[in-house]
Amino acid sequence: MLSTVRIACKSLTRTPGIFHSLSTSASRKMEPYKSAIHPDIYLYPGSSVQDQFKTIDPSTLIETDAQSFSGYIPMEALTVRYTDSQGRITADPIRDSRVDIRFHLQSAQWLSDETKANIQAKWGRELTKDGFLVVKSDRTRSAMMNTADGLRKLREAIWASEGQTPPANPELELEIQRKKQIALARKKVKQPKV
Amino acid sequence: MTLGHLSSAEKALAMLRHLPRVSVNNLAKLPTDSLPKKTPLRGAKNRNKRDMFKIWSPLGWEGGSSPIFKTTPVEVSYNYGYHAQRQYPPMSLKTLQLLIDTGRLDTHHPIDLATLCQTKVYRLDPNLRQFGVHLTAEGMDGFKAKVHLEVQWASQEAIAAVERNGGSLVTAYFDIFSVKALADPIAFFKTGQPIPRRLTPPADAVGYYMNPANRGYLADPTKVAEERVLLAQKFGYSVPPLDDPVSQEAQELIKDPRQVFYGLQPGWIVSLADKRIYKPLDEELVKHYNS
Repeated sequence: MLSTVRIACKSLTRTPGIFHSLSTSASRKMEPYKSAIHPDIYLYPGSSVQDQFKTIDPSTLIETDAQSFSGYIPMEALTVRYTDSQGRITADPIRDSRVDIRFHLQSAQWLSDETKANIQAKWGRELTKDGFLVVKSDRTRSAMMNTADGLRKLREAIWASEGQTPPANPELELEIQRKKQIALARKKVKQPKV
Repeated sequence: MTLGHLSSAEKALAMLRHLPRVSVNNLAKLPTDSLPKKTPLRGAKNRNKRDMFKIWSPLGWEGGSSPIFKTTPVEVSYNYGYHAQRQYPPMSLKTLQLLIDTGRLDTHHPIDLATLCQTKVYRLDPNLRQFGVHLTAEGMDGFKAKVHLEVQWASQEAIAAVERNGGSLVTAYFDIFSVKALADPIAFFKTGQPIPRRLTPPADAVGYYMNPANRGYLADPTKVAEERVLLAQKFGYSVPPLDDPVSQEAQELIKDPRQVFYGLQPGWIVSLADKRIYKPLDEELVKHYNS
C-alpha cells in the first residue's frame, strides 16, 4: 500500500524554479533527507555539510612564525585600480583589464617590521616618491587573471626580498615547453626541402 | 430564377438557402495543404549545422571510412573507450549572466541542472553520453550575479567569479538515469517512474568530487571553507559572508548524495495529473532508497 502526500501545487507549468516551490511551502517544513552515505554520516562524521559556507578567519590558516611573510595579503590593505591598456578608467569591466596594485610600504600593518626592512632593502629603489610599492599587470585580457598575476608578482617580490625562491610550477613549465616544441615544429615544416 | 433585382445581402441569403450545411467534408483546402510535404530526412541529409557541436565525434574520425588509427597496428588502442566517455557540454558565465539578466533564471533559489535545462537555452542530451554542465570562465570579468549553483564540472576561475560575488558553487555527480530525469523533469514525472536513487561517482571521477578545490559534494566541508579563502587570496578579493536568507536557503537545500531533485527523495513518484506524491511504505523499498 502506498500513502499519499498533498503537495503545494502552486505552479506545475514551465517556470524557472518550480521544483523549489516544495521547499518554500509554508504549511510543511520537511525534514532534510539524509541517506546512509550522506557526508555527515558516512564520510566526515562530526562535521556538517553547511560548514563549507562558514567564514573562516584567515589568521587561523597562517603559521605562527610571525617574522617571515606567510603569503597572506589582506585585500582591504591594497589599493587596486582597473584601467584599460592606456591607463584610462572606462568603467567597463571587459575593457579595463590592466591592474594597478599599490600600498604604502612603511605603514603596512600586515607586514612585520623585519619583512618591511627586507623589502625596503631589496626594492627601495622601485618605490614611488611617496613610498608606495606598485605592482602592475596587463598580461592577459581578463582583469581577474591580471589581478592574480599582480598578486603573484607581489608575493614573489616579498619572498625574494627574504631570500626565498618562488615555488616551482611544473604545470606551467610543461606548458611553456610544449608551446616551444610546437613553434619549433612549425618552423621546421616551413623550411624548404634541400 | 433571376437574382439580378436583389441586393448583395439578399443574394447571399438566397445562396445560403440552397447550399449544403457546412461540415468537415466540404471545407476548402487550406493554402498550406498545397505545399510540398516534408518527409523525414534520413541519414546524412538529417544533419544541420548545430549537430556539429552537439555530437563530438572522436579525434581522427574520417567521416565513416576506416580511420588511420584503426588500420595502424601500433595505434589501434587510440580512442579506446570513446563510446563510454562522459561528456559535459560547456556553459559560460557569460550565458549565465545573460539568462539572469533576461529573467530566465531566478537567483532567489539555488540553481541546478534541472533549472538550467528548463530554460531551454542550455540543452542536454543524455543519449549522447552528456552527464551535466561544465561551467566555463568565459565572461568572468562581467559576471555580476550572486548565484547558488550546482554544476557537474567547474573551472577554478569560474568558481572564483561565482564566489567573489557572494554566491556559492557545488560540483556534484549524477549518473545517467538521474541526468535523464533532470534534463526534462516534467517528461520524467509523466513516465510514472519513481525518482531514481542517484549513484556514487565512478572510479575516475571520485577524485574530482572529493577534492575541496573543485567544491566537490563529497569533499571535507572544513577543507572547502579553507579553499574558499585560498582562492580569494589567489584572485584578490575578500570572501563575502553567506548569511543572507537566500544563501541560508541554498545551504539548507544542499542535496544528499542519493538525491536528484531539490525537496524530493528517491523512491517517490510524483504524479502531475493527480497533483500528489506517492511514497513507498514497503520496508525493503524504504531501506533501499535510504541506503
